[in-house]
Amino acid sequence: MSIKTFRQALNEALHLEMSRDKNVIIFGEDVCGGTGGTGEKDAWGGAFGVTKGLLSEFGPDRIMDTPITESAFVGAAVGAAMTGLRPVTEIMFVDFLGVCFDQIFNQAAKVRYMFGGKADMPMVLRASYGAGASSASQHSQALYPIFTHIPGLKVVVPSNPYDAKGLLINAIRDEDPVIFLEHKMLYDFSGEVPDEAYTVPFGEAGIIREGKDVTLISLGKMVNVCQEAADELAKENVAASILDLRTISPLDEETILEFTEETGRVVVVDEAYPRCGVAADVSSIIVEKAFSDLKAPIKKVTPPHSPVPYAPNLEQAFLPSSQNVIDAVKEVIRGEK
Amino acid sequence: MSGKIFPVSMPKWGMTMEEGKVTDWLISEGGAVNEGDEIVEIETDKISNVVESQTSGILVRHLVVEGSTYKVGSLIGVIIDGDVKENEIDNFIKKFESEEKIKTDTKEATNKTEKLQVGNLELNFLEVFCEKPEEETIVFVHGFGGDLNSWSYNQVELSTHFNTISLDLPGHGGSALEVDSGNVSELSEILISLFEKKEINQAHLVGHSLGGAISLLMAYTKPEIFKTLTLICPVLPGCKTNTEFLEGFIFADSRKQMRSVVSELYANPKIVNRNFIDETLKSRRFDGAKQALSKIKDANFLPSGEGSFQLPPLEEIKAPIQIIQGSEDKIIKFSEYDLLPPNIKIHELNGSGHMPQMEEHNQVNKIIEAFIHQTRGSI
Repeated sequence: MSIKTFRQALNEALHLEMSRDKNVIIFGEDVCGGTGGTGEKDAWGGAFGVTKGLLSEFGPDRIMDTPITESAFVGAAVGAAMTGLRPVTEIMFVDFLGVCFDQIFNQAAKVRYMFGGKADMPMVLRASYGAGASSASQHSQALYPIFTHIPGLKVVVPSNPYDAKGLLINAIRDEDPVIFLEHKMLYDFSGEVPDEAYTVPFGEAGIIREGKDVTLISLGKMVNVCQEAADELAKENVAASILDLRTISPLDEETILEFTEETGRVVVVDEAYPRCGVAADVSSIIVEKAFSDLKAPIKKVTPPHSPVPYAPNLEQAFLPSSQNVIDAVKEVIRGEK
Repeated sequence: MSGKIFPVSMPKWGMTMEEGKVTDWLISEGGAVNEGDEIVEIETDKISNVVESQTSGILVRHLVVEGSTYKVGSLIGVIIDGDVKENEIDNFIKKFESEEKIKTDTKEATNKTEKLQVGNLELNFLEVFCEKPEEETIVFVHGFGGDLNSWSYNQVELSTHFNTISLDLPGHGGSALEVDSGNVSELSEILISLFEKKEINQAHLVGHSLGGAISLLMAYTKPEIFKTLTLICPVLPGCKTNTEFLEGFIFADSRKQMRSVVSELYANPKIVNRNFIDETLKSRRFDGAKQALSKIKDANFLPSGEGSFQLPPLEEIKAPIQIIQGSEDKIIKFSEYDLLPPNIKIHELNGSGHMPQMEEHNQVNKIIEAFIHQTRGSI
């Protein structure tokens, strides 16, 4: 066991799976070379350095750079997966997936269903998401709710290096299309990661901590924000539980409802836009299935319904902060029936 | 002041425990306590348990609130016996807290596990030494599907008088997951090689469940090393193991399933907390982990639950043997105690399931320590 960054954990997962199964292939923009590089291949390993070192180990037949045409190479991944390969495709920013919705929504997501369960679609689409780097409106969104909306897709949003590695291994071994989203501000975040291969299953929320007063439900980078908030709240003798959803499709309803019953107070913290987002979805499930367990109305902590601002001060104001979470918790406690 | 003041502090249960969460005060503020009464329920990252009063008196102060987490050693309550004034209690608390701060600032690093290559296997183990290095060594061998954390409540405690070493069996915990046949003779040989490599030439064995059978073989093979043998809920010839449990303990793949399986281990299933279940599930999700455990299960147990291996007759083991049993063990059924050699002492612990070393750790530690001291004179 050693301390590794989120980026290293993902790189290790790709390494292990490519060594284990020769059908695992990687393609995307600059996955061999990299932006800002000198043109020398393998110097960078993608826009965020996740695929670094794979080219020299596995060769150009299994890891290749594509032109800047997401529509073409995401379509190619769908075809490759149908022939039995296991493509792991990197899209620099989830914001760019808009140009290949047909490939994802109508092809990848429908193949198993429309061929009567006779076809597998073992593809993984990796992309960065999220605000905080001042990358402006077209490179900062948390678009996971769009994919969660589509039956047939699995959607994974890890919050820490241990889970990132186990979830990516699980994604590559899965027979269905997986949208795997990595918060760009988490790549340098480090934690303990075993060297061996292991899986983290889909549909099982992580229990980050247990506290009896309130449950904070969150995912991705917002889990860190919840942890900061919970640390502060503990000083005021408010004990918070934190659930890390890890995968939003499938969603671990059982654990969500179990903690709702135990604490009776829920705050959902989500970086996606508020309308039709994960916070809205999770809240509706709780209200529908565990209304009588609630001691107070659920609070959602999300950004406003607005594009992500470019100016750093506005971007910070846009993002949910630990103070926003603390305020929401206090409001829930005050708002008891 | 004619009375006495006693601190109630956060206990340290196990090597990795740095803090504990106060889940429930069982005696209200101002309530009377007798020595041995359960005062407060504490939850650690591994398990939940209760703190027993070391004295009789009145629990005058709760210094911590339920649901919050505090560092090991911190003052959580105060008990007085006799006539004590309020300001004396306040001074006691202040003094305790300032002394505790100095202690925690200078406290040594937490014990860390180490790895050693034995043959072609890497074994994970944990040594906790006694302050007097010349002391004898206790070796802890866990059971099927467990790991060295099975001894969280015993190893640190017993290290006040003994050097201690616990290890992860091959196919378990942080040790290599590859096993050859996986049967108990192979496992006991690997452990013997570990001790030879570490040049441990005098030791007392404590083996739990399948680790009991392994310990028995070790004691038989190396009578010159192993001086006493404490078997906790051991797999013995003639006993029946709950194979449904073994199967579930390997393959349960959700929290719900694992909780119901793991609960079987204890007389009081409430002792199992979510973290323990998560850690068990995590350990099973490493590539090769379930296969290794399956192999070990198939190599040692018949579908009927009887052991498929040969153990030497207990009469032929030189080391004195004692057996600790849980009265509510749901994993191993053994009814042939009458047939055991009469010199084997059997302790049956009431209110304990298959894990007395956790459920009744104070008693188990005392039994182990007394046994070693008592046999010392005769060695």
